[in-house]
Amino acid sequence: MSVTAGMGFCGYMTMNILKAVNLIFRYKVFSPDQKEESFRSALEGIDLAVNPGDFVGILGQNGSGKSTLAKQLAGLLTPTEGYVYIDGLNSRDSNNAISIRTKVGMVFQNPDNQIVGNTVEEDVAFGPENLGVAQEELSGRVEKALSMVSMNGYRFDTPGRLSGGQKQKIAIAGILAMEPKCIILDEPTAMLDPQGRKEVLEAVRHLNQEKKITIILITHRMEEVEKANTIYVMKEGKIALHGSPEMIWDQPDQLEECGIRLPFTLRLVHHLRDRGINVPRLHNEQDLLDYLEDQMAEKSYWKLKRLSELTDFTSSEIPEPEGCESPGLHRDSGRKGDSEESDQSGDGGQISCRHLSYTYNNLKAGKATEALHDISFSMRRGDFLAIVGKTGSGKSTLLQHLNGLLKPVKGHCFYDGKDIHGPELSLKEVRQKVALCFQYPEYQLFEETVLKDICFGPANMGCTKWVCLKRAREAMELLGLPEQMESLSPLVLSGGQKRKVALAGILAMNPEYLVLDEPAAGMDQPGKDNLFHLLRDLNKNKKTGILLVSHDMDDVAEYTDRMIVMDRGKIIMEGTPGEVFSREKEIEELGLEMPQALSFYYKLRGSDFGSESSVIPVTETRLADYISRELDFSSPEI
Amino acid sequence: MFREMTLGQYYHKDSVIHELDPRVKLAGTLIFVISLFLGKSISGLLCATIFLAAITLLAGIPVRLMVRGVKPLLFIILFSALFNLFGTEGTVLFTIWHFSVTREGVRMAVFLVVRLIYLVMGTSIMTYTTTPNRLTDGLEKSLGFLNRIHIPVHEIAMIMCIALRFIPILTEELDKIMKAQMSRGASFDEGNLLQRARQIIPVLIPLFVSSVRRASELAYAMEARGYHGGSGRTKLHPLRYERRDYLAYGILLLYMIIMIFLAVRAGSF
Repeated sequence: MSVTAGMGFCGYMTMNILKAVNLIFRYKVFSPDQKEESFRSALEGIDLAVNPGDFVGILGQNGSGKSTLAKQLAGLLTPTEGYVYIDGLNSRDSNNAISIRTKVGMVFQNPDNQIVGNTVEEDVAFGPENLGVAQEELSGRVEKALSMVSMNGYRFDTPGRLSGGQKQKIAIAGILAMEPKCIILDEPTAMLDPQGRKEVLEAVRHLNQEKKITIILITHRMEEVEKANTIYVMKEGKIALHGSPEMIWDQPDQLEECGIRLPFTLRLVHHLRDRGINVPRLHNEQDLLDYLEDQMAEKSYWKLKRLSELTDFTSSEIPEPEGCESPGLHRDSGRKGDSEESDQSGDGGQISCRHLSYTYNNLKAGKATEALHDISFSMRRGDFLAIVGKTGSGKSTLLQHLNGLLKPVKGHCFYDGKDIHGPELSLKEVRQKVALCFQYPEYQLFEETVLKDICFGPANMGCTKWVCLKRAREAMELLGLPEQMESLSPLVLSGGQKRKVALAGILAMNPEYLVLDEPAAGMDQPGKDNLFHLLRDLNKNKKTGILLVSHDMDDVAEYTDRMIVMDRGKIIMEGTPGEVFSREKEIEELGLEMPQALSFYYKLRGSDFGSESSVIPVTETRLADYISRELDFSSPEI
Repeated sequence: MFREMTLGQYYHKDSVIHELDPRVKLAGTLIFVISLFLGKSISGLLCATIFLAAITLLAGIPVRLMVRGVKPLLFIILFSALFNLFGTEGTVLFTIWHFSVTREGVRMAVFLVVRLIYLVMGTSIMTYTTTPNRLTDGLEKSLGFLNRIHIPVHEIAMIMCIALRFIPILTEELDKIMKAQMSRGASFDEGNLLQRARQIIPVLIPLFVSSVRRASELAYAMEARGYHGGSGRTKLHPLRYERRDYLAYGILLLYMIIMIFLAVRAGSF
């Protein structure tokens, strides 16, 4: 504050820990064809104020400018026009550079790219070392920072051995050790599994509530900022919406325009309203549960009353309305077609693994780690299959066997009844039929132009140039990539476009099976929706067999026909999402999440709501169907 | 594919040698290497053997680990030994075909083999007992005088540290990119040299792009944590000499004196 006083505009300025005034930021773009430099606008007139101790959420889809705003607020970028004040310090004044570091810290998305030290303590000490904190004090700061994120036990570990969530907590500790008043977190959970996400969010909430540290959390998941004091929603470099979470949720259409999905409870409310049930716009899950129970009680009362009038009516005879399907049935059309096809069995056999085991050799430790143990499963064309399991359960290792990247130590992998590593098949052939898409596939782009990159796969498979181009263009069309993009360098595209190009490169090989390792990782909601709709279309129209690894159980429940649960290198459950998720206890013991719809259903049932559903509602629409059926006694079906 | 590759060969153990200041170990290694080439006397070699054995024992490093370090260099060592064996003039012991083995040749070869093996073992003791970070710290501090002639010692040390930190990350990434391109039908072991060189492009470019991306993210992260070069920085674990370090310097000095004495007595100078 003494610094601000010296600068002459203390007064109202000291009220806010962070303040942006008409903040505009443009950056230079060099395009290869036009040699002049041009400017692209990333932020266009941002006004924002954060009070000390607040929990502020900044939402926005990819490319909305939220990361740029974060760097501006952390004083890592300087405004083109307008001002940013950090605890009263003007970020344009280069004399403030070091003092700003003691006010605000920033945590980035990728935990690997922000850890400097080779041991945990060394990394946490890095910040205070730079600030010139006395050596006697350093060790204490490290200890304190680590305990604030409950990572004391890992002080002497190497970061490489930690999980993603733990690494991110170390990154947070590294900032805490500098004792800032405010921490800005730029999508800290985007690259983490659900377990890691939970850990990090808990740590952040704890810092805000117990340590009174101001938190700015940037994300594209509404759920993560439900408890925020204020939310800013960004769109195209501007603040589109701003207010308390409740105020934001009351504008669902605008939110959708910004590419943000409503939290689960509100989505359910909308589904119910669509079905003609007049539910108030509750955003708290417990409130909605209570409301629905009340409604049920009321309905039962009226029902009992009517029952006494109509004597020979029993509720057990209520016929299942037509909208009600079993979890498997929903896509059984697909499965039927698939069995028919296997009868024709002309174009494409099945993939199967028999008693497959794999061990990684760790030369230094001198011991082998078993990654897969006695895996047997099979899938056909037209299947839509998910593999779920905690990080390290062997999912990715299994995927790499399916196209022969890894060779089983024991057991076999078959394609069309032939051993993948046998003499009857060449690996190239296998890799064309069974395409594997790694996590973050955009990191594999390398050609000069988008079109060339997409042609890389088919060209390697020995297709003629003409066929390559034809397939590449088809793939681009499938993914909705405009023709003008063909001649651009893949490196100048946005993240979402890059991923599409990478996917196009895989689809251009015309695979019979598409195997994907967390294809939606780091994507925002519109991108994710697009991707899953594409996969579903491929699955339905081209009978492409789809196998994907996912941590998002809502997606698994929504899109897949069958799922495999892995734990410590073994398959421990297999079945339709309905079958697997009905084993609630086991799923929880494995540390996996339940689809949100299903946990809501169990909570409802736990409080004696209505009758048991004949099918397990694993998706939101089916849950809404169930609730509306239970509440709707006066419907003509009765 | 590259998962098995490990960096550095630090062998964790609680020993006096492990705890020594890295500067002492750097100096020690230097002294040991010099001493190996000081004399041709058997007594000198014996003294070096005792010294090496004592250090190995103190450091608690298993003998098989020491032997393993020599293995990759075995071919070079044997080759130069043969060269010496047959190529030295002197009293002929016996002749095979055109080549004659001399007494001096045998002596030279034996000395050479022993020296080279000791050289490798001596330096590997340092890497077995010092973490890469401590080593960098030691280098930074002991080469600090170079700052005066405008060599940015701190920055170079920082670069080494970061390289150490990122090598495992980038190796993993390399593995992933190779597999991703293989899934797209790329192969890395077909054709002649030129074709093979071309096959690396789909791996090298993504790896390069990714390194640049990581570097830029890391730069922001370091700036966010107040990094502004070496000036005004404090250290969590500053290098500070303890009593054992002075003792070690004393022992090193003694060793050097003995070795020089033995060399002079044997008439090497």
